[in-house]
Amino acid sequence: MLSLYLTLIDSEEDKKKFVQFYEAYRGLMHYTANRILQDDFAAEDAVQEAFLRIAKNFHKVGDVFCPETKKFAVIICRNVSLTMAKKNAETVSTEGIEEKLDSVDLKDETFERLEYRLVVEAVLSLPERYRNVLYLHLVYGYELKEVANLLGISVDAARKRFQRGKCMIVEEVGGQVDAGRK
Amino acid sequence: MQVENKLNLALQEALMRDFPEIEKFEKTPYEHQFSVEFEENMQRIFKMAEKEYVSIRHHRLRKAFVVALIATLLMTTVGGAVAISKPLVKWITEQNEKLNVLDITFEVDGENEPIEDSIAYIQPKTPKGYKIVREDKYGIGYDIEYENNQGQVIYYSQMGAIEPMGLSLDNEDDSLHETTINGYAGYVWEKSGNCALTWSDGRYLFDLSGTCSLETLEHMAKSIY
Repeated sequence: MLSLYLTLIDSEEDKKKFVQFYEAYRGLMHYTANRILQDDFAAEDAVQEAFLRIAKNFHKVGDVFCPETKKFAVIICRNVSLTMAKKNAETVSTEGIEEKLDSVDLKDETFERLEYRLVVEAVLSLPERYRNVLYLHLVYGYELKEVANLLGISVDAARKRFQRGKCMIVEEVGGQVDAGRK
Repeated sequence: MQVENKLNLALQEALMRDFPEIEKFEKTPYEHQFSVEFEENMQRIFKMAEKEYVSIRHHRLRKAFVVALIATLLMTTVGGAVAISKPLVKWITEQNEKLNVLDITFEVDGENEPIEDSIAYIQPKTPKGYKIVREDKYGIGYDIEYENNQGQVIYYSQMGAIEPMGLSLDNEDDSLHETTINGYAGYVWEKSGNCALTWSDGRYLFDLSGTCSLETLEHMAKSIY
C-alpha cells in the first residue's frame, strides 16, 4: 500500500477539507443534478461522478465555504449531469461558430477595446460548455489539462473551447476577432 | 496577459451572477436521503481523494517541471533533480530536503487520450505461501493485500490517471534507488525489513510493498506483464 512509505503532504488537513466539501455540497449537487436529470438515482450517479472528478483535482480548492467553491461544485455537477442527459442542443447552435473560429488565437489587446459591462453579459450568454472552461481556467486557475480532467473531455477539446469561448465573447460584444491564425 | 486581466474580471463578475439555481436551492427546503450504495461509493472516493492529496502543490509542480527540463537539456543529473525519460511516461523528480522525500510528478505522452474514470484491473500472481486477505476495486484504483502464515504482508496498488497525480517517496538515508520493471522506469526502496517497488507503464502507476523479500516483489511485478 502506498501509505506504507508515502509521505502525505498535509493529508489530515486536506482529508478533512474534502469531507467538509462533501458534507457542505452534496445536497446542492444532488439538487443541481436532479433538476437536469429528473431522476433521484441518476442524480446520485451524477453527484458521485462529480465528486470523483473533484477528488482528483482537489488541490486547488481554497476555502470550502466561499461562494466560488460552491459554484465550482455546481459547475462540475452540472457538467456531469448534462453529459449524462446527452442534451447537446448547444452543439448544434454553435456548430457554425465553432468551425469558423477553429484555430483562432486572439491577440492580447482584443479585450482591452471592449466595454467591460458588455463582456460580462457576453460571458453569461455563452453556452455553458465554453463558459465552464473559461471559469475553470481563468478564475479557478486550473491548467487546461486539469480542466479536461474535471469536465471529462480531451485536453485538445478544452483548449479549443477556451479559444472559441473567447472569440464568441468578442463577437457577441461586436468586437473584431482580428487574430492571427495559428 | 492583458486578455486575462480584463477577461478575468468579467469572468469573476459573471461567475458571481451565474448559476441562479443556487439561490433557489437555498430558499427552498430540499431533502434527499442518499442511498446506501451512494454512501459506500463515496467512501471509496474519499479514499482515492486521500491519495490524490499526495499531489504536490501546483507551484512546486511547475518548479519541478522547469528543473526537469533544464536537467534534460543539459543531460545532467547534478543537483538531485533528474528526469527519467521513457517513451510513455516521464518521471519528474525533485529531492525535497526539508521532508527528506523525493517529490514526483508525471508527464505522459499522448495527452489527448480519453480521460479514464475506471481502469482494467490487473492482478499480479500471488506469491507462493501467500493468500489474498483484502481486495478493493474503486474507480481508477485497485488495492490487494496479501499475507502468509508467517505474518508477512504485501500490499499491491494499481492506479490510473497518473498524470495529475503527484507522490512523495521516502528517501531517508538514501534508501531509494532507480530501477526498471520490464523496461519501465521506477524506484526500489529497502529499509528495516521493508521493501517497495514503484513503477509506471504510462497508463498506470503500480506499487508493491511489504515485509517480504525484494525478490518476491520483483517476481510479482514481472508477473503483471
